[in-house]
Amino acid sequence: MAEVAVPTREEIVALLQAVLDGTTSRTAAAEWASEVQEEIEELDHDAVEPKMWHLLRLAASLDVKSGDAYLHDEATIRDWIEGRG
Amino acid sequence: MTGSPHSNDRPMVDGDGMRHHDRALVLHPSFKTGPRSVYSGGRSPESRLEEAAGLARAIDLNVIAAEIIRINEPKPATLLGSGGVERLGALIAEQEIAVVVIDAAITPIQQRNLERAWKTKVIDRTGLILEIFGERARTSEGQLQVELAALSYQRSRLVRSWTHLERQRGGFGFLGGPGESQLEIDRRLIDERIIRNKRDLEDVKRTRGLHRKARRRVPYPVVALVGYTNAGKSTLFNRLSGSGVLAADLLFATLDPTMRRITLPDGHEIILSDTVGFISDLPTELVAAFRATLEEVLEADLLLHVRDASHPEAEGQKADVEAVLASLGLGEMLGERMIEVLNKIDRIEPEAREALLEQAKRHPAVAISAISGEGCDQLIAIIEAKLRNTRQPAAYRLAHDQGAATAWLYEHGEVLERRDQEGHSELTVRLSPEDTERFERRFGVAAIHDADEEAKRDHG
Repeated sequence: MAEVAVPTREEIVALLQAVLDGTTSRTAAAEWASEVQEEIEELDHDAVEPKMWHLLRLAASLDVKSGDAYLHDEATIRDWIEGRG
Repeated sequence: MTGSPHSNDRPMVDGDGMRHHDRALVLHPSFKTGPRSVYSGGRSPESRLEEAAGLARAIDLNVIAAEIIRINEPKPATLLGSGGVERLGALIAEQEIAVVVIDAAITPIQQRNLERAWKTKVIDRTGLILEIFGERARTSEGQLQVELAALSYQRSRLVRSWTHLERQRGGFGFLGGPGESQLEIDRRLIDERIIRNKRDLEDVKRTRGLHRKARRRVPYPVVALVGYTNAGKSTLFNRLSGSGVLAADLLFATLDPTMRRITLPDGHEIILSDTVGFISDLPTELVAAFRATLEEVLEADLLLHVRDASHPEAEGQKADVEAVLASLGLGEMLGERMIEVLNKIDRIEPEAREALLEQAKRHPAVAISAISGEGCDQLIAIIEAKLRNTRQPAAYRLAHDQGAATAWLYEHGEVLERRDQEGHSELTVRLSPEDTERFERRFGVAAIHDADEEAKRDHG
């Protein structure tokens, strides 16, 4: 089975923080999370813990819109960072 | 709406010579024979007239008068007989009416002739609904969808004597080839705008394609509200989500889908989605333009069909909603995923209310008042139960070399627990019944519980 670079929780949290700081766009962050998910699905799913998988799926939905706003507001992203996702 | 295609981005109200607070006359033609509504089965003309006046008010028209006009035989030139045209003409002049709304589909010729006879703007039901949608659309996708519907409607209504579009467009008028009739030029100009609009819409959808993909991955079930316009969907949305979405007593107050994440009392999280309401005789152009949006909403794990139980035409409205769902090819698919919500019971007299509550018990439905909150706890309990039923947890024992099956479970279900042991893993996962069947068939495995039962049977 091929190796896949599974992101650590710290890496995902850093990404979420970058979105909050405005240094990374939501679209870029969601695309990255989606691509990582796809790679993991194709290569080595066993490498990811369910909680990490859940966090990755949340990150992949960062750019989901609700009307003019985003489904996940900044307070929600802070909750994820603090492990309340 | 019935004028020329507009050169600005918003082709609606202002560009057509109609203004907010214009004095309006609303007419509902009641035909003895001839044109009938596809969806209106059995509706009273009074109810239809009231709804049409509500539609006119929805774009801030000042409805001065509204009446039912009985038509024995529709006249090809003016719809109404000459006596009716004359009588209404006097009323229009006397009341200084600026817009006449005719709650039916009228031909371009009829429209033109009535506008000439009455010296006022005339608009039909489809045109009016398109105006409302044009006003309400907030997102760029919504605006493009409405514009596309409006252009398709305009194209179908081009007649020989129409305004010269290329002059309004401000062009030099040399685009048309020699011998090209005005009608052909008008048609070509609209076609060009339709092509441009579709291209823009594709661009927006490409971006939203990512959203849709992401949304599918949102690790929560989606519960969508559907129903007739003004059934109280947004009020219920606010009640359940505790948010401040516009919940006006207004037809089509909501157009662009709105979503909120909420936590149910059992601790599970869901995405609640509010969307555009349906209406009888929803213009086909709009259904086509909004098809993708509607289908996306209807992909939800659970649908709440919110109904205004206090409305005298509640059954007709239900039939209209079901007809639109059926036209989208979704009617039969929704049975198990649908909860019928009888809203506005606070507006019902005590006796009728008791009967309704009894009916709700027999018929799988829940009676509520989104305004007062009555019945909402029961609704939430039903949502929880339905979601539990639709996504039952099951445990699977998978060997370490069954990576594809493991991946499939992570992709399609919610993995609740994973225990790695020598040679295999045990995963407890919540899956929908369809996915359970697909998974077991595809990978030839059975849930541990079932497998243990089989083993016991095999060994006596």
